[in-house]
Amino acid sequence: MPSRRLTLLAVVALGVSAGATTAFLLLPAPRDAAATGTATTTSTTPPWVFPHETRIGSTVVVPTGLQMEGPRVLLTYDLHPIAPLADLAATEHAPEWFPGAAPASFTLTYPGGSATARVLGPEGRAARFDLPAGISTAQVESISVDSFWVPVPAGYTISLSPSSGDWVAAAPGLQARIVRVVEQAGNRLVIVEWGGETALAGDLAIAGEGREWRVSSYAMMGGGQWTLDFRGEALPDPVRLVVRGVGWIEVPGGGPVDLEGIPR
Amino acid sequence: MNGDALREVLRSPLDDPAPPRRGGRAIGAVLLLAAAGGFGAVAGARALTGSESPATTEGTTTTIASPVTAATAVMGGVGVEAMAAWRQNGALFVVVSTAVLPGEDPETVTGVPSAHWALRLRGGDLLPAEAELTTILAPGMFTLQFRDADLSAGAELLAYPAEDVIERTFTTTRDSTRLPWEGPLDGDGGVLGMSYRLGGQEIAFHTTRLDDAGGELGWYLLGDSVARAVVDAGATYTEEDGRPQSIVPEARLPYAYLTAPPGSAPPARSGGLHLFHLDDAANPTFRSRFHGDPERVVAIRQLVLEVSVRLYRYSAAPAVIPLSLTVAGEG
Repeated sequence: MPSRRLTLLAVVALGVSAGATTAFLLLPAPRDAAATGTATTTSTTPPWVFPHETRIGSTVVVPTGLQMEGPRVLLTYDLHPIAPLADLAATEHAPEWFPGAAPASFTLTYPGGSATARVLGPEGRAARFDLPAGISTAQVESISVDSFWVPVPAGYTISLSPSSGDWVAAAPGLQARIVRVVEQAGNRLVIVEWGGETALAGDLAIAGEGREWRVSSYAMMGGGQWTLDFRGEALPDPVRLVVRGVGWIEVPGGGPVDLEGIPR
Repeated sequence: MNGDALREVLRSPLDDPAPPRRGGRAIGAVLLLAAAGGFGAVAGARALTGSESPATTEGTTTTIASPVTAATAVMGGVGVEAMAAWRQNGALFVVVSTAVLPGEDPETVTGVPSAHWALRLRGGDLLPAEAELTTILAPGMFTLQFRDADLSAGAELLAYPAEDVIERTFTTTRDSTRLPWEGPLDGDGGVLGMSYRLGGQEIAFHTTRLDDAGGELGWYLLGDSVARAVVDAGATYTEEDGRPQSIVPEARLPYAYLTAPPGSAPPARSGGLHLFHLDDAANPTFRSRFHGDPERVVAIRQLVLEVSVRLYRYSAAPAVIPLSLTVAGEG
C-alpha cells in the first residue's frame, strides 16, 4: 500500500511539474489580477492521495473509470487509506485489513434525471447505475457518494438464551440467536445464527468467553451459523458470548466524485 | 477542568470496593493488542497540536483550507472524528475514525496517543467510556462503549490524552516448583504478591495462578486516581522430563486475530488476565491453545513469569470532539 500511494504521489507530482513547465513555456504570462479587477476566490483542500479524490472518513475514494456495461453505467474506484498505519507496519503477521470507510450508495445525474446505485458490500469497488436508453457515459453530469459504510471494531458481549432462542441485537443491523444446542458425549454444541443484514456479518465472529469454550467454527449452511463448543458442566442461560471482528454501519454523507480526467 | 473534576471522570466503579486479596476470579480477559489498533502504542503522549494546511493561492484571494472538518479534533498530529453511533442492549457505542493530515504518509504516522475518553452530555454530566474496542482488521478505527445516554444536541466527546506513560517489566523465577501454583511468587528477583511503587502509584497483584491450562492474574492500582494501567503477563517453564512450555494471554495466542480479533479494555484502575497454555512453545501454530487440566499437578524445573505494566497518567485538559450523530437503534 505505501509503495502504491507513493508511486501515485510521484506520478501526480511529475504530472503537476510537467504540466506547470508546459504551461510556463506555452501560455502567455498571466496578467496581474488586481490590475484587471478580476479577482477570484478559490477554496482548495489539499489532497491526501490524488487531486480527484473524495474523502469519506479515514479513506479517500479515487474514481478509476466510467464505462458502459450493457445498458448500465459502471463506475469503478479505488479506496486509499489515510488512517495512521505506522503501528500496523510494525506488526508481525498483520492480516489483510479493511479500509476505514467504503461507499455504500451513489447518485448519478444526467440531463433530465438521476439514478442511484447501491454497492454490494464494503468490499465492492464498483457501482452500477440503470439509466434510460440513450444515456451514455458522455452525458453523465455528476456522481456523488450519498452514504458509506464505516467499520465497527467489535469486542463486546451479548447474552443469548438457549431456552427461548430470542433474537438479540449483536451489531449494527444484525441480530443473533441460539437456534439449538446439540448434546454430545463430552460436550455441547451451541449453534448461533445471524439475522438481519447478514451480508454485513461476514467479518464478525461469535465466541464463548472463558475456559469452558473451545474454538468456534463458522458455516455458511443455513444462512450463516456459528458452532460453539462448550465443555463445561452446565450451560448457563443466558449464555454470555463475545462478538468479535468488524461489523459495518452505514452513515449518510460523502460528497461529489470528481469525474474530471477519468476515462469514459 | 480542574484535577478534582478529572478524578471524578476517571473514577470507575472498580475504584470503590476493595478487590479480593486472594482467590478471587479475575475480572475478565484484558486483551492487550491495543497497540495493533492504534492504542497505547505511543510511549509518551504527544501534546495536543493545532494544524493548518498550506495556503493555496489563486488570483488575489487566498483561502486557507481546513484539512479537517468542524467535527474533527487533532490529537498528536492525527485527525479524530466521531463517525457513527448506535445503541445495543442498553449500551451506547460511538465509532471513532482517525486520519493523517493531508500531505502525511499514513505509513509513517502512528495512531492517536492513549487517552481517557468521556462523553460530556448536554447537561454537563461526564460519562467515561467503559471500553475501547480495537482490531488490527480496521486500523485507525475504534469503538467506544458507554452506558446508554442521550446524544442530543450539545453532547461532546472528550479525550484526556496521556501526559506520560511509564513502562516496567517485573520478572520472577523459580528453579523448582509445581503447577497449579497460586499465591505470591517470591523467588529470586521475586516481585509478585505484594505492592510495588510505580510512578507515584502503587500496583498490587491480588491473584496469581498458573496451571496446566494457563492461569489468571488480577491486579489493581492504589493512589492517585488520574492514573490507569494496562497489564500484560506471560510465563515460560520446563517440565521435568518435558519440553519448554509457554503461557500467554489470549490476545497473544498465535494468529489470535483469526479466532479472537483483539478488542481491548482501556487502561484501567484494576483488571485481570486469563492466561492460556500454548500447545507448542517453540512452534506455535494456528489454534495453538492447549486445553490442559487446571488441576493436574505438573512438576517443573524452572519457571519464569514476566509481568509488564504500562501506567498512563492523563492530562487535565481534554481534546473536544463535537458530536453531530444520529444514533442508530437496536440492531
